Amino acid sequence: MSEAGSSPEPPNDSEPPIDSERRMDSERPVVDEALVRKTARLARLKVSDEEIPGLVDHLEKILDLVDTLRSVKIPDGHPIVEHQSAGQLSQLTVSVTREDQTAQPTDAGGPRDAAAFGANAPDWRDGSFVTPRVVG
Amino acid sequence: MPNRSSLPPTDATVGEVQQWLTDGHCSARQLIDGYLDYLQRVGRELNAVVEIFVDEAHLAADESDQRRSSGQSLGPLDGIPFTAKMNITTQLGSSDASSPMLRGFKAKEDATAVGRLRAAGAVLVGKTSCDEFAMGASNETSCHGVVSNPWNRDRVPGGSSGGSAALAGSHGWSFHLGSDTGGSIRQPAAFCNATAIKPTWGRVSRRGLIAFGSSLDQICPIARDAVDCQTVLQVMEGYDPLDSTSLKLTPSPLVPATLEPIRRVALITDGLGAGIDASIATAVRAAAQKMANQGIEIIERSLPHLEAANACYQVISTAEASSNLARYDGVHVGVRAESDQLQELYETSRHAGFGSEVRRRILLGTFVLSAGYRDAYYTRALAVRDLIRQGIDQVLEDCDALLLPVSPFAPFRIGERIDDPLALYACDILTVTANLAGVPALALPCDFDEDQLPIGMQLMGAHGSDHRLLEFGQRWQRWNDLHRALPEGSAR
Repeated sequence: MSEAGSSPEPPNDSEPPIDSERRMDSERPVVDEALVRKTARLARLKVSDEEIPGLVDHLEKILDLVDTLRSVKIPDGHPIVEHQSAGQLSQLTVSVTREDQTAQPTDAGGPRDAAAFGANAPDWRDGSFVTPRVVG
Repeated sequence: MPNRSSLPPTDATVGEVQQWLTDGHCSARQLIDGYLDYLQRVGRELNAVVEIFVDEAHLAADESDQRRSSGQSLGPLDGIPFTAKMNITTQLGSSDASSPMLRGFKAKEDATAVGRLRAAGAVLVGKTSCDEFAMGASNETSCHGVVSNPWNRDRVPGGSSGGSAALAGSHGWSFHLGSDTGGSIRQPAAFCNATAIKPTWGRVSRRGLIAFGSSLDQICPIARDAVDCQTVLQVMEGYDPLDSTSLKLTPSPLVPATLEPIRRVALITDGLGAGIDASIATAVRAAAQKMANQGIEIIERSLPHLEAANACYQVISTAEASSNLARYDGVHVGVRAESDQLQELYETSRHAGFGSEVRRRILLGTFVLSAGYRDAYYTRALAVRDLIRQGIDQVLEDCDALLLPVSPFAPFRIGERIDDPLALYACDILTVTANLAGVPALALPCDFDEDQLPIGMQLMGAHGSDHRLLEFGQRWQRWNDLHRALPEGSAR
């Protein structure tokens, strides 16, 4: 992903994007079952058949609201648009990262024993988060 | 039961209660007992409080009394009861963001803000209900049930910090920590006749605030008056090495060295027109006139892009939420639906753990970030956000603060809007601008409508003007007694 690091990203997905006729950046997409199912899969959300009509309707309505954004004239060459489109960090923002430092377990935010991570996990065994088998 | 004759009046502020303790009218233990009693009765009736920490509060109160008797008081919050919203982590109790996803979640640490308040002697007495993951404007999406407005129990207290506001609006002595991503402290404050400030973004560490929209979220105090909000903010604010976006309180453009009093206020006329209840527009205009009578210069201004702000907020807040809530996957924390397929485990766990409003927002946020739509929605919203910030800066070149209502309408009936998400999103139209621009905004009681429901107003200022706004709020509250009013029956 070219935009990595500049903003939140949904999980990568191997499925092809919505068919190209609907991929119109400057116009309203067609909101239908296929779009809802595709987006839900990207979001790792199960949707039941019964939920689909309601979600199509909601997405349609919320995009009506969001379309108000189009009424705002964005000056040509606005730096955010330029940089986002080029997949770069906006130069209007400032990085606040610092040098790496070591911290002690007693420091707030310092390293924890593994069990502390597992204490709230639904399935934690032998110092590991347990998932269904994914390989072999 | 404590000896009630020795307890302060129910409407007493934190400042007044601290004096009461200093004067020896009661001990911190008696005060805390009295407040716990109120939480057990009225707090439970309103369904505002989810957990109450009786034993730990007793212990902390006794320690406070020992400090006081040996002349070692920790200052204005020593022995004062407070609560934290369910989306703010505390070592005591659970921190579930009112979501089934995090039911029973035990945090290892206090949020930095909570830790600083406890270190200043404040006594954590409970956790309050909120909308699930702070997504809502009515406190109706909480897994702990609907919270009632203390002024009319058939009405919502606002949201998402509805539990905090229901307590702040019905009893003194205490303060409460909520959070504000698009109006979540100000709108409930307005609905419950409390005072609250959404600080400049970065002024208060977000460490321990369960993330919704990270570039918008702030932990906020809500209390009886602007003095108390300022006292709490002064303890919480400032740089935290565990939140690299928190502000160092050394003089800078974001942290002015001197605080000039507010003299010139712009009444934002777009906030008084179509879509705003006439009673609210009238009340805010009348408030501006009262300020003018006290020598404040009032000008009228338009705020650019006010209408687009809600659209901008919908895109940015949901995009950030879809990213922040990706961590709840059924593996690391929270609810897990069993499956032998990893992908299915993720999807079914998230379906089981998230309520429908949270899922709707994750879906929109994922959509606006997805390939093919990102530039049309997310990038455009970022640019509009920048223009909104510039618009505020522009108006502030000519005045010290912006005045507008908090909510376009009065507290509505429980159930009235919950089935129409867009009707709920309309609650945010006047508040989201401050979050998008990162500027502070102070919500103050403004009036009551003909149904005796509270009306709130807000003042937005420049980045870093938090204490200027609070000083102005204190002046406003010397000019009238609105903030002292308590609902009938709340002080039984």
